[in-house]
Amino acid sequence: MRRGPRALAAILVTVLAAPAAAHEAPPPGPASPLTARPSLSAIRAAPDLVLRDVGGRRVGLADLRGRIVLVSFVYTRCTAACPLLAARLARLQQRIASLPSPSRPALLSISVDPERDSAADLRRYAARFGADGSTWRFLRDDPARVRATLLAWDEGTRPAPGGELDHPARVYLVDRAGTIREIYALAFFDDRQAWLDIQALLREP
Amino acid sequence: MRIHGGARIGVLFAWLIAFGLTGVTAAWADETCNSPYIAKLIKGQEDYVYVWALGVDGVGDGSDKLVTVDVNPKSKTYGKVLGSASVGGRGEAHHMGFTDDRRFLWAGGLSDSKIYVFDIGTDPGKPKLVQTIVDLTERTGYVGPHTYYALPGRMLVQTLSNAKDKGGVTGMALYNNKGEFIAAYPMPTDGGGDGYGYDLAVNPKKNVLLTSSFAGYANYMRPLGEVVNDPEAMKRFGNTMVLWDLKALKPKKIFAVPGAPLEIRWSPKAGDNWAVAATALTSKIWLVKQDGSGEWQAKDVATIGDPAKIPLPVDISITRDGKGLWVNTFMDGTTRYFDLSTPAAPKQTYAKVTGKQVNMISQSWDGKRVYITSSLLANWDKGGADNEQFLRGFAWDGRELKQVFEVDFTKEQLGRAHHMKLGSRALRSS
Repeated sequence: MRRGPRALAAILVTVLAAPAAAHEAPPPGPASPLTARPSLSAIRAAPDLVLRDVGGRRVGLADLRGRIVLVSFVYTRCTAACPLLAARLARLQQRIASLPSPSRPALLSISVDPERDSAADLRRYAARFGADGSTWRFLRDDPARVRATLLAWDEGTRPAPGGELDHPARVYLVDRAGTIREIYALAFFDDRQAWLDIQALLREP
Repeated sequence: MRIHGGARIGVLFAWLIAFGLTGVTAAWADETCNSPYIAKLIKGQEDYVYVWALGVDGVGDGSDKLVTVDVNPKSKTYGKVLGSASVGGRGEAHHMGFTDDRRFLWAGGLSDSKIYVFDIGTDPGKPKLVQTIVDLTERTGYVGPHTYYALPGRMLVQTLSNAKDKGGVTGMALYNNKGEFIAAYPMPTDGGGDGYGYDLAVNPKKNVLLTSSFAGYANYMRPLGEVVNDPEAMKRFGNTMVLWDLKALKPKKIFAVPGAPLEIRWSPKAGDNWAVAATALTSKIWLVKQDGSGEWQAKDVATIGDPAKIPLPVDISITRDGKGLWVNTFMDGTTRYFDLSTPAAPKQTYAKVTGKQVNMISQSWDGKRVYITSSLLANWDKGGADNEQFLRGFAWDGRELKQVFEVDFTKEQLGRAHHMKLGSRALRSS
C-alpha cells in the first residue's frame, strides 16, 4: 500500500509523540552526552512578539516576563522537521508539568505559514501533539505581522519545492529576564538536554 | 608550556632551509566539512567557488577580497571570475565560514583581526560586504581569528594568538549572528594544555568539540626563514588537541599530538563518531575516537609521504561517506588520497602533483569535483616561479584527477588564493 508523505508523517508523529517514560531526565553519567551544568551565555535580547493564539487571544512575549519561554517556528504542512520538533516539545511539556505552576516555562510555537495555517489547522496540530493550551500554545496572525516577527527573530522563510517551506527551524530558550540563552538546531534538539537547561536557568537567582 | 618534538621540528626546518624551501600550516574548506548545524548543503552541482584571497601590494587594488568563480560546467562563464568584493585593506586574509542559515559568510584576517561578513544569500553570485567586526581583540585579548564554525544562531571563532605577547596562547570567541560578542573561552594551559589554537569541529551527537593547535602571530606573520633560524621560535608550535564538553564549553581531555595538528574532520557518515587530523610538522594522520570503554583517545594512524622529504600536509578533506581523505602537501605540491575504510589504518592509494605549491583542498558533496588553491601565508609562500597563485578545478572519477579549469590569480590581478567555500544559486534567501 502506498502512503503519502502526510500519512507517513502522521505515523511518525504517533510514534514519536508517545509519552516519555519518566519526567526526570537521567542524570548525566561519564558516557552521557548530556550536560548538567551547561554554558548558557546571554546571546541577545529576545525580540518581542505579539501574535494571536488559536483562540484569537493576543499573546505577547513581554507579558511572559518572569517565566522561561521556549520559542519555536513550525507549520502544519511540514512533513519533516516540524513533526519531529513537536514530538520533542511534547515530551518536554510532560517534564515541565512536574514543576510548580509559578516556575513552569511556557512553550510558544509560531506558524511560519500564516496564509495556509488557519486557526483550526493549528488547533488540530496542537491537539495531535497533546499541547495543553496553557503551557504550550500555538500562535499565528496576519501575514504581515508574522513576517515582521520572523525578520526580528532571524527566521528567514522561503517557499521550497512540493509546497514545503525552507526555514531555519531553530528553537530559542528565553530566560525570565527576556534574554535568549540557548538556540537549538532542530536536528540536534534533545528534549532531555533542554530540560537540564531549563533547570539550570531555574537555579539562577 | 609542554613541548613535544621540538628538536625534531628544528631538524625539519633546518632541512627546509638547506633546500631553500618554505612552508607550513593550512586551511579548511569543503561541502563535506561544514558545520553539522548548516542544514543547507549543496548536494548537486555547485555554481560558485568563493575564494578568500590575500591582497598583494601592486597586484590589482592590493586588498584582500572575496573572489567569486563560476564553476558550473553548463554556464557560459564556466571557470571564469564573475567578480570580487574588496575589503579595502590588507590583513592576511585566511579562512571563512558560513552562518548556520548559510545566508552570510564570515571571513577574517590573521594580521588585522578583523572579521568581514559577506551577504551571500541575497545574490549568491554577487557577495556583498555588509559588516566588519572589529572588536575581537578589545573583547577577548585574542588576535588572529582563524576558524569560523556555525552554531545555531551563533559563530564560534577559533583564534591563533593573543595581543599581549603575540604568542600561541589564545582562545575561542563566540558571537551571535548579528556580529555581537557573547563570550570568550581560553584554551587550557593546565593539565597538559599548551594554550594554543587552530581549528575546531563539533560532534553534537556526542556533545563534544575538538580543537587543534598551531602557532601565534609572532611566528605566522614572521618571514619563515627568520622563524626557522630562531630556535626559541621553533619551540612555539602547538602540540595538543583538546576535547571539550560542547554544551558546557569546558575542556574534558587534552591529547598530546606533536607537530602542529591542523584541520579536524569528523566523519560525515551517520553513525560514525570519529575524527581525523593531520600534523603539519610531523606528517601524520591522527584518529580521535572512543575506545571500548567510551573513553576518547587520540592515536597516530598513518604517515603522509616520507616525513624525511618534508611533504608538509596543510589541508585535508574527508569524503561524505567517511571512507576517503584528500591530503594536500604544500612543499611537494602534491594531492594525495587515502583510503579511510579502516579509519585506524588509512592507506594512501593515489598521489598527483597538482601545483608548485598547493594549500587548500575542497570537494563537492558527491566527491566528483575537487578544487585546489595555492597560498599558505603571505610570508610563507614560495618565491619566484614557484609562487604560483591559482584556483584549479579537477574532475575525480575514483582513479584519476583531471584538471578541468584554472584561474590564474596573479594574471587576473587578484592576489594569493587561499580559502574556498562553495555557493549555489538555489540558496538565494529571498
